[in-house]
Amino acid sequence: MLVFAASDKGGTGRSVTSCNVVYRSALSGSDVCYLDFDFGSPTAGSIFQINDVTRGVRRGGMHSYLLEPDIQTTGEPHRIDVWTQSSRASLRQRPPGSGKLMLFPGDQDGGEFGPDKEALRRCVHLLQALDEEFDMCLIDLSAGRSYATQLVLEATADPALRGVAARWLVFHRWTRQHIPAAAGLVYGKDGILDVGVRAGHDKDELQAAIKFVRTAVVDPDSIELSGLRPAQVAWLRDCDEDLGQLAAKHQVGRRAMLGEVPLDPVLQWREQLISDNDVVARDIANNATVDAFDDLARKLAADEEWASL
Amino acid sequence: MLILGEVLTAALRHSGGMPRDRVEDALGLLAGERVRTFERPISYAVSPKTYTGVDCRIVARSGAKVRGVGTLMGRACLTGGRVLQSSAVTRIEPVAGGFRQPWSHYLARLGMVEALGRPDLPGTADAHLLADRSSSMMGMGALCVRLLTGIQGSPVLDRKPPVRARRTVLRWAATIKDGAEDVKWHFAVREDGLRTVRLELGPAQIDDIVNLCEDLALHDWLLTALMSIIEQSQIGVEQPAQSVVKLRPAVDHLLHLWMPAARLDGFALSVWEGLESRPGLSRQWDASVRRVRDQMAMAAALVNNRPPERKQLFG
Ligand SMILES: Nc1ncnc2c1ncn2[C@@H]1O[C@H](COP(=O)(O)OP(=O)(O)OP(=O)(O)O)[C@@H](O)[C@H]1O
Ligand SMILES: [Mg+2]
Repeated sequence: MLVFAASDKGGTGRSVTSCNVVYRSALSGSDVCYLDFDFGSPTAGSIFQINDVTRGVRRGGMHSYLLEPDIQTTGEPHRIDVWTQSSRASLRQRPPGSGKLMLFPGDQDGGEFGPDKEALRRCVHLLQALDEEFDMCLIDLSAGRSYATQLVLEATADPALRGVAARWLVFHRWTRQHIPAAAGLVYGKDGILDVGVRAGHDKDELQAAIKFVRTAVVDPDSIELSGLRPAQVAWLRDCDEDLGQLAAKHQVGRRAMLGEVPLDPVLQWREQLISDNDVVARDIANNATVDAFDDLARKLAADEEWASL
Repeated sequence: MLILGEVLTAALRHSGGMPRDRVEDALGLLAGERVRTFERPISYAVSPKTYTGVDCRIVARSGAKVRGVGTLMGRACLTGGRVLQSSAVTRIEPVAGGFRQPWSHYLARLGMVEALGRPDLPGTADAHLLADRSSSMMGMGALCVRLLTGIQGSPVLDRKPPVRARRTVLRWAATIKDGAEDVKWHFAVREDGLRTVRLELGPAQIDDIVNLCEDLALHDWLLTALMSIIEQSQIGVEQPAQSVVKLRPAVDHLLHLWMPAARLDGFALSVWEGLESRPGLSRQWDASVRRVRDQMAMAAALVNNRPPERKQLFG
């Protein structure tokens, strides 16, 4: 299965959420990999805490694999085994029964690029090879209408990838600006559906393969907010309801949503993986956050969540 | 004489075994040329040979370079309807003088690369075998990827590989010495899914060497895939019923494929005999298969609540 992570705006929590979902999937026994296609700012190395790769690798990352034709490609860009390479001790103990957790990092000096036939061919080959090896390949795309997005839409329309499940997660914050922006990225002009149809996808099929993920959501009923005065809680609840209506109006409502991740103090402070240790032993992160990641990981793999209407 | 080769091995992206005519469609790299198929002792299909022109640097371990011009032979094969392999092979032939000939010259010598100048052949073999996975000599790796990817993208496949496993690369170098009496070989498992084989032998057919190396690559891949399935099934940690769910693809798709040297004879057989005593591939395989079967038997016994009867399950 291929999973594409997109968002209209930057800083939505696309990378952090994706990394955590991939991590939870690996813990549950799936072989997974994470491809950093955010050519402008590849941050996955830092989230997985791989020393020296916090802003991508110097050479051989995703960007150079796709774009440097003089590299004698053997179909294999640079890969990093997170279980053995992370500087975080709790990650280095790969739990028995867990699956592979592999990072394909970006390049330090990547940058965006334009349409390129050879890059498309290589992208198809790469996704094909990784689909042979991994249960789930998550591809983190640049924010907004990027060429990376167009590239993978063209790649998944290629006959060589037909039959491989491809699912889209569109991340957005739960705010008045983010909801219409996320809708625009999917339904708007030159959005995912537009570009996808031009690349040869069937519109309904593609739309059924796109789900939204709300990030850093404040739950008015959560215990963290128990210190608020009743009037404040009532006001928050009203806001939440308003946002719900706004989302429904923009086709970003519950039916199109795969899940939501609560606002988490640890993630607010820094981009990282949340381990069970952070929740249970250290008690710094919230259980609800980990549950949300688990829930996303499970639903991503569950065909019934993605059945077309 | 030096012959260099590379083999790429993967699970075919198809959920079941392939009917014969479909296999022929998938492997038919060249229109007009036939795919050869065999049914015994295990089903096996091999594509026609293809040739790719190269004009490249041949680098020795010392860093010395000469220009190489000629062709690589490429082919693909499918074993048991499930394991797909592609190979790139060429013979390196030193020629005096440093001029490139017209292509007709090289087309009359298919599967050979002429090294213009004075190449360091042992050093070239070393460079080939010691390079890391992503840097392959003369574009052999790229040719293997191209052949394999083409077949994996074929519309006759349903894109559902029965097991998930990384493609493995086996690089080999064979030095042919006219006077050599017996075969010397060295097989090494390197990191990153890379394996190397160094061979030294008397006069031999290149096809026989290719067959041997593909057979080694096939069995190494099977063993690697089986061990990774066993590891993730958590035998002894999970309930047997749980482990069995994870072990099932191995039982359904891999276990029956182990048949070392099924189509080999002569020197290739003696290499396999050596491999069986050390590192003992079949011993490791048999032990792994026993673990899988014991686990299946135990799960069945727990379900039926009676002692395991292997016969009934695997008769
Ligand atoms: N559930 C959450 N609760 C609180 N903070 C969060 C949450 N999810 C993400 N964040 C924080 O939001 C910020 C942006 O996250 P992240 O880098 O994942 O976003 P992004 O969409 O990948 O951004 P970019 O477009 O720059 O790649 C980070 O500081 C991250 O820790
Ligand atoms: Mg990011």
